Amino acid sequence: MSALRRRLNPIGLVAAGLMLALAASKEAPWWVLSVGEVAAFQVSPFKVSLEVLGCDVVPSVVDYLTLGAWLSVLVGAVLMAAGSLSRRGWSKALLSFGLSKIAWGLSAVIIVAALPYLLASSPLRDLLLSYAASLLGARVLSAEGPLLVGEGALRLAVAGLTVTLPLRAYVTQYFYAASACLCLCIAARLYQRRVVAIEGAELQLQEPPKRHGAGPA
Amino acid sequence: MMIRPLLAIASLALIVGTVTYGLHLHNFNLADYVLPRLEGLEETLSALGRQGLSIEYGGLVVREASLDGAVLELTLTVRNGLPLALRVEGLSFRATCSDHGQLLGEGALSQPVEVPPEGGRSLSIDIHVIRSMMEHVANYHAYPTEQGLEVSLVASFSASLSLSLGGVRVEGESYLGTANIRFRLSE
Repeated sequence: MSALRRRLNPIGLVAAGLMLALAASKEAPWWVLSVGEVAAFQVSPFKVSLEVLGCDVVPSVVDYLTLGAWLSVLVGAVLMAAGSLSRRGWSKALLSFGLSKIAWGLSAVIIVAALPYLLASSPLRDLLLSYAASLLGARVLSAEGPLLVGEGALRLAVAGLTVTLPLRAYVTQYFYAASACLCLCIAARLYQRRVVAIEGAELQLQEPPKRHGAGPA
Repeated sequence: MMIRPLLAIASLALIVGTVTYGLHLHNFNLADYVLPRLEGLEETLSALGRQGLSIEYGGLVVREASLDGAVLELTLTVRNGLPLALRVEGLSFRATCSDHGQLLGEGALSQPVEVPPEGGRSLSIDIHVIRSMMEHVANYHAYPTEQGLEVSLVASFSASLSLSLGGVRVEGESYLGTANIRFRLSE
């Protein structure tokens, strides 16, 4: 039992299982930005949707990009599990592959989630919002975006009316699960280095001692 | 260690492969592939523009009228053609004399009103005309008849509106038009 435990990386196996569970929930968003009940921007590495009045307006290319990301995480989970079952040197690369996939996915979601805040607080705000609003025949009165989670508002002047769009951002349980998965992947990768180092040391011990100066006379 | 470059290539191939496959499914029409899908939204917005929101004048009834004051009951019909719940949170009216610009009365919705998606709701608002305003009516717009003092005037209406549509708040003021008002002053 002890030998089996030394041969396996249990943290890596749990991380691989969690990655598979996340991939199985392909449609579930990790982060959501809602504009009242009028629009909702739902983001995960596996699916991005921007629904305005019930119509998804996200370009098709995003669907295929996220499909690629989903396949990458699936492959990453399989390689993570395969690497966790081995003590060979190359197993570290397999675990690193799985780790990188979940790290990229989570980073992408955080970057996208930070965009509304950066947009609302950057010097480009007025320029970008004014351009977007002018397309709708509106003028921006004020903009306040949430940072990852929280609330904000966008106030527009449209045809003599003041329109206030409430912004609400929140992360879902899948975001927390992905964060936990990333921590497990990092732990698994560190653990694997130790496992491989022990394996290397054991192999060195098993090698017969080299004879020095012993050759044909 | 050849495994790391191989994994990097596999990783890249997964993304590039799926994106290229998607482009192939779109017959290599790059514009169709990368531009937002607005057809459905345009249709929805067009339908909303036709059905949309409307507040229609339903009528004006003089409930009480004497030299001490009057109460006018204004009836409106709010139609919501949108698939979102509409909540009229505030609606206040000002009636002014069209000929002289004199404020005649003010009234407001007593409590918020919910209008269901693709539905309608009738509202009635009391506009109170106080004594000082009735003096203007009596001095400039009343004439004696056998039955008493008859009033005939043209009132202009403006409204201040605050509503919430699917969580989006809309506020504004608007001139609504004029209405002929005729009534008899009681003793």
